[in-house]
Amino acid sequence: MKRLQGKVALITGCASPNGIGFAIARLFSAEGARVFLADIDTDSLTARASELSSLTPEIYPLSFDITADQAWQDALGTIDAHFGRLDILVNNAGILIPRLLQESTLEDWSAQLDVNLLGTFLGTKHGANLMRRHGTGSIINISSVAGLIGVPTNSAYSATKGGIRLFSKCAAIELAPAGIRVNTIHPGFITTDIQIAAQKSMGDDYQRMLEKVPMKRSGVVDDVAYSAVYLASDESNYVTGSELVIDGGLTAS
Amino acid sequence: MKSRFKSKVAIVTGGGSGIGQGCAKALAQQGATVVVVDANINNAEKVTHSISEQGGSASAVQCDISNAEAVNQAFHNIANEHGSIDLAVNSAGIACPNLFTADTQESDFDRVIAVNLKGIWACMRAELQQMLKQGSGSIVNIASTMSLRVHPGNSLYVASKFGVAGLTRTAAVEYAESGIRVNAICPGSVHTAMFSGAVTDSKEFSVLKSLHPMNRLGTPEEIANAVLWLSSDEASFVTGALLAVDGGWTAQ
Repeated sequence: MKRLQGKVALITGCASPNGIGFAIARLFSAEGARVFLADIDTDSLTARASELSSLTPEIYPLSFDITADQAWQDALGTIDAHFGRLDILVNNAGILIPRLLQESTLEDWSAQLDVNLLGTFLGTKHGANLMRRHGTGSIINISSVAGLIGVPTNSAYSATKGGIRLFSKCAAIELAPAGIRVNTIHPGFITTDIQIAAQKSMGDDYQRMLEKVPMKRSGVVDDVAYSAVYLASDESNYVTGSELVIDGGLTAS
Repeated sequence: MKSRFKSKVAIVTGGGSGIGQGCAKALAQQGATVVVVDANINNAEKVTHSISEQGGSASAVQCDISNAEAVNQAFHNIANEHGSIDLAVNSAGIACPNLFTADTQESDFDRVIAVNLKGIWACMRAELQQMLKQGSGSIVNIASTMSLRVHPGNSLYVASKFGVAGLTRTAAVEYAESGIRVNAICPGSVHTAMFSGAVTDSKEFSVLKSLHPMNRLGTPEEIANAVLWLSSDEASFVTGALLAVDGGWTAQ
């Protein structure tokens, strides 16, 4: 018996081949889940879906804008029509625009709040509605160590990630009677496209932060994906409103 | 028998009952060779017997973890016999009488701190010394929601469990480059003999239950599942984490 056998999962932000979303999709499908991959980038999403389809038939690309209320309702309507249920939702899609506060624009702020925080709000709200029907479900919201500690040039990003952390705890309390669990994952330095880009633009600041990681290295996307498997599975049935920190010891120090 | 921990040697303190028993059985079921350490050797042997019946590998060791010299001796013997200590789950702990702080007794303070804090320290020290020789290892301490939140009438227990969180995080940072990971689980109220011994009043039971948004207690198996994840290579970038497994208690 695989750990997610037969469960229906939706993961947002799956277009990047080196990203956390795609790694989660890969492990979820290896554990027997039926996986909807979502992203706004249709071409890349199609490419990722066909990569996974060679391993398992239960892969469904779903291109939509997670910042649009109606788009969420349509996407979940599609899943409902296919399977009549949703067991796992991973709100993973996120963007980072590293910039000093004084150089940040309203557009930078709004873009990050829309994708990271509004997208998570809409997904959790509408996803929980579909989960409610069967009285079970696991929602996993991807926050960050930037949701726990301050990081220079990350003020707007940290605001969204800290927001996701407490938003998820409120949702966990409200949704516990409905049998729906809500938890956050807080990745630290993980080798993804977002972090490689941040490394370039943050320069010395990035290096100084990396040196603070007690393990003295970055993690890989599978480190995060495995924690998502645990939270998605029935192994974590008593875990809700909790935060899993995957950071090589950074926030412990 | 699954093989997630095949050829790994695991120590579980307090493995004779409650959460420790759940962890010992779960680790054995995943292929680990388990050493059940408990002050009560009869309880430890019951667990190892049950593991053997299921086709697992386990042995029992009697040890009072509040005695650091006894811990050193016992863990030294275990390492000699098995060749390594790959995984450690420090679960041994005791409850304290439900009293407001002004009414607590020195003997209660000494006892709770001796087992819950000094005991965890003594075990961690012995485990770390062995794991440093190996260049690898994973330690999971069983802390508590009371490592993160307080509860009236539990000041001594809270003090001991806040201490466990501090030991966990400090050791995690100290040995992150040595291949040793140190994490803690913070369980909410769990169906164990310790819990039913400490909470005999049905009103207090209802109050505690209602503190968990899931409105139920956890099971030792649910705590063990979290221990399995943290002990496995799947969690190889996780150290210094305090993972709440508490039905939502500390989300509030």
